[in-house]
Amino acid sequence: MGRTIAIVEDEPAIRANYADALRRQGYEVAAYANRREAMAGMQTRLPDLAIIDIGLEDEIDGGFTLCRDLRAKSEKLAIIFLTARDSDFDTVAGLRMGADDYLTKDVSLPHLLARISALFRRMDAVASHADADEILTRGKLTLDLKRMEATWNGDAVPLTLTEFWMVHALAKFPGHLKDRDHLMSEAKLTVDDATITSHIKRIRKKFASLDSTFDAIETLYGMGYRWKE
Amino acid sequence: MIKPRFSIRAKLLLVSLTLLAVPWVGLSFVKEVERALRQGHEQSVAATAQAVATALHDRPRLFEPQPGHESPWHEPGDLYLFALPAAMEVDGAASDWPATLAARTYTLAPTSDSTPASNAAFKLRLGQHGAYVYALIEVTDAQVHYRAAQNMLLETADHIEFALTTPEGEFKRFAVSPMRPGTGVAHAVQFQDGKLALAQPEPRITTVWRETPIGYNVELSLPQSLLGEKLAFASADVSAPESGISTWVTTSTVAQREGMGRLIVPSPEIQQVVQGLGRATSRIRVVDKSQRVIAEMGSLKQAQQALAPTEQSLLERIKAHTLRPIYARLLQQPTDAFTDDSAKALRLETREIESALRGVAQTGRRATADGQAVIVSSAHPIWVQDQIIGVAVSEETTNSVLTLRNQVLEKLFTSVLAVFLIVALGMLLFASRLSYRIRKLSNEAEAAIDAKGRVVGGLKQSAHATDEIGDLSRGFSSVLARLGQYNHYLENMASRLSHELRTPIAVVRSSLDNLAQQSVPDEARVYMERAQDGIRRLNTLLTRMTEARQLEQALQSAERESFDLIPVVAGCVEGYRGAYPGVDFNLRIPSQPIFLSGGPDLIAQMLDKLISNAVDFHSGGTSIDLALARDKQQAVLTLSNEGPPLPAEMEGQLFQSMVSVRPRQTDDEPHLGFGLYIVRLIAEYHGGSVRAENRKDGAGVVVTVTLPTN
Repeated sequence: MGRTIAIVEDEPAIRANYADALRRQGYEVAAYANRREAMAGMQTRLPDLAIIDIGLEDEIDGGFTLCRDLRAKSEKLAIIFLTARDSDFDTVAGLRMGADDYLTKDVSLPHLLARISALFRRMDAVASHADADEILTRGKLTLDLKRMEATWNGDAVPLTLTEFWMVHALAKFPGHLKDRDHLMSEAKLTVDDATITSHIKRIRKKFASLDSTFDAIETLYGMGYRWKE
Repeated sequence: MIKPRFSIRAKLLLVSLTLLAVPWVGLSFVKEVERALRQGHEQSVAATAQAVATALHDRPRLFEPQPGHESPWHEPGDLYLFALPAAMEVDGAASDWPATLAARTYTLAPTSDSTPASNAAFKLRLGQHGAYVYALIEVTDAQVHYRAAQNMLLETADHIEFALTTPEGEFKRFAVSPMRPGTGVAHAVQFQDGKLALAQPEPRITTVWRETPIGYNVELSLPQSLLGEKLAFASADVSAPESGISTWVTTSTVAQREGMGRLIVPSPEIQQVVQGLGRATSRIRVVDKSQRVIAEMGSLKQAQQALAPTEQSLLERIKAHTLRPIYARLLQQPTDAFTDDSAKALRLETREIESALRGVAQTGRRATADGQAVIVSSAHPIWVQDQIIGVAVSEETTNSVLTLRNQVLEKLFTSVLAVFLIVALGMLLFASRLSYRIRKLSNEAEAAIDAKGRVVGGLKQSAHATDEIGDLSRGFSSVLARLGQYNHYLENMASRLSHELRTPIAVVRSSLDNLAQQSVPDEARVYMERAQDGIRRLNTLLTRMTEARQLEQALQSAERESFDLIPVVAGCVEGYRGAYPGVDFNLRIPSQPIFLSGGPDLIAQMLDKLISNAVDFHSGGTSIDLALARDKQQAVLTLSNEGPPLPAEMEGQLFQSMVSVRPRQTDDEPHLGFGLYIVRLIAEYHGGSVRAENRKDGAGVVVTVTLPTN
């Protein structure tokens, strides 16, 4: 059964391009130009994934509203923001709304596709309760590579996909220095250094909210980061 | 050439100097007033003279000398000329002289030497009728000696000598020394071989010598025209012709003009009339036809009035101590300390009197000989029928006018001075206030734009004032606001641009990505790759452009932590050694930790930008020197590289958004001039500053970042 993806994007050329690319990957794609169309279209049947732009035609924050409405309908629906807005504020706001990922339009199609497939893989893994054979354990940290879930001391850490990939890249080889470019390619991101820094900050905060003594991610200024055991 | 700089204050004070024209105008006004006062004064003096003259019109008797009165200005030796009822018969007898005219007796002046007291004396009667003056001298002499014929020497015989001054002032000396009693004429007296001797006879003076039981009488008549101001008589007694003059009795000296007695024509009735007309400040004199003073009243000098010490206000006292001396120096002060050269004169010879004697009343003014005062003198003729018998002269000093004028001037000067002071003070205060406001405005205007050209504030000074300075302030404020908006627009331009460009780029990019999935001819693939490369660079460009804005946003919500600057700098430099293998980095760091409050990531980001800049600009083969030092409460990071110096005009602007001094390069990395702007943002976030200068040796550039420590 093909997965269904809804694209809500007001720019017709981008919408068509993404839709074409996704269809080529075998996904079933429904494209909407604005929030009303999207809500109407998804009223009857929810897609597996919604890719939403924040600014929708005349609604500046139409994407956020849509995300909230969709999340209210379904806990399981995967939501990715794909937008031109790259400010920290928007990123945080989008993720708080319950989006699984937040991507800027810089992202290349192959990167986007990789993320989408990873997201679906995680959803499958969560759904199938498969064996935990792909488990990475580093001290208190446990990474379930199938479900793409992280736990610290047994508590689940609510990491986004990007964050999970970053933690994985660091923790795979503890003590090894990972520079920013490395982290970026692991997380399939095309962002600047500051974004990496703010991702790392968010990851640290998420761990620290579970364990205030968390200091496993070490900053080597000017060079990168490494996992400390 | 340096232009002299005048402040508004100085200019306004200069302008207020035009007020000094007011006293000038006042002065000319006062002069006008003084002229009017003088005129009035002259008129009043003339009126006095006229009043006196009117009172004396048609009273000829008043002008006849009256016996029995002494002149108020009598001096010993003075002789009185009284009016005689009829012409005297010159016969040497006293019988025809009126009884009312008492004879005056002259005796030997008591001497200090012990000559035996002599009874030598003579009685003198002096009178006038018509054009002749008569004199009768009765000499007491036991033995009368007469002059021998041919002997002209005076000392050999008893004789009468008299001296006079003519109306022209000529001194003349005469003697009566006959050879026998009888009628004769007087002779002029001259020195002959050191002795007095008779010279030519004077036929106008008739004399009679007559012996009496007690001695002899001499009566003489002489025309009044011969007589001037002074007259003196003397009788010489000779005991024996060989022994010379033994006794010498005189009215006053006859030897020379000085010391001679005056000839006084007293007129008590005129004096009484004049008394009634008298005024305190003027002198009234009446002169007869021959210009002799016959009555005088009043004085030119005022009696000094003792000033009662009055209660003075403070202002008055200040005035008295500060201004009065100045006025006293500047203004001509009326004074009574002048020498009245015509005081007690027996004859007055002024133009006014001469004019009045011709029948024309005249008023004139003359300065006293010492120049201390000016006397206004008015003469008015006194008529009897159509004959002028005398002149009334009224005289006053101009002191009263002068006093009045001085009072007006003082008041004028004082009030003008006060007004000037008040206005000047007001101007000064006003100008100070004005220049203070303008200076403050100018300072604020200067401070409104910082050294980096950013608008940092508005203007508060005079913002609500309704005057021109308020307008200026508001105008400047609105200019600043617009400038600020424009600056803001420029600074936001980058992020807006990047935002707007994102969508079309995403269109191109996704299209290219889709195209890559298609079967594309190989020869087309190279163009696709080029297009993708272009898109990638465009993307980097956008990322760079948004970096600054993202940082600005991040800084607003960034959490501060305390951290040691040393490991951050050391770690970064270690990283750069790996990142730029061809470049040599020298780092000097202190041993003591330097704690800052802020974000270590931000510091690292700042270093990235600085190092990338230094690497791009450094000359190949040279090293990049970093030094971290602590200076009091500041951490000072210097980064020096050899390379091309900064263009002079760019110093101070380097750290602004979208400013770049890089030459156009063909490398892949686009440069928009955001790197050093980010450095500035981070430095300022930490409360520090950054500046770039050419190295002292001119061989490169040194960037200094100053950050306050914890």
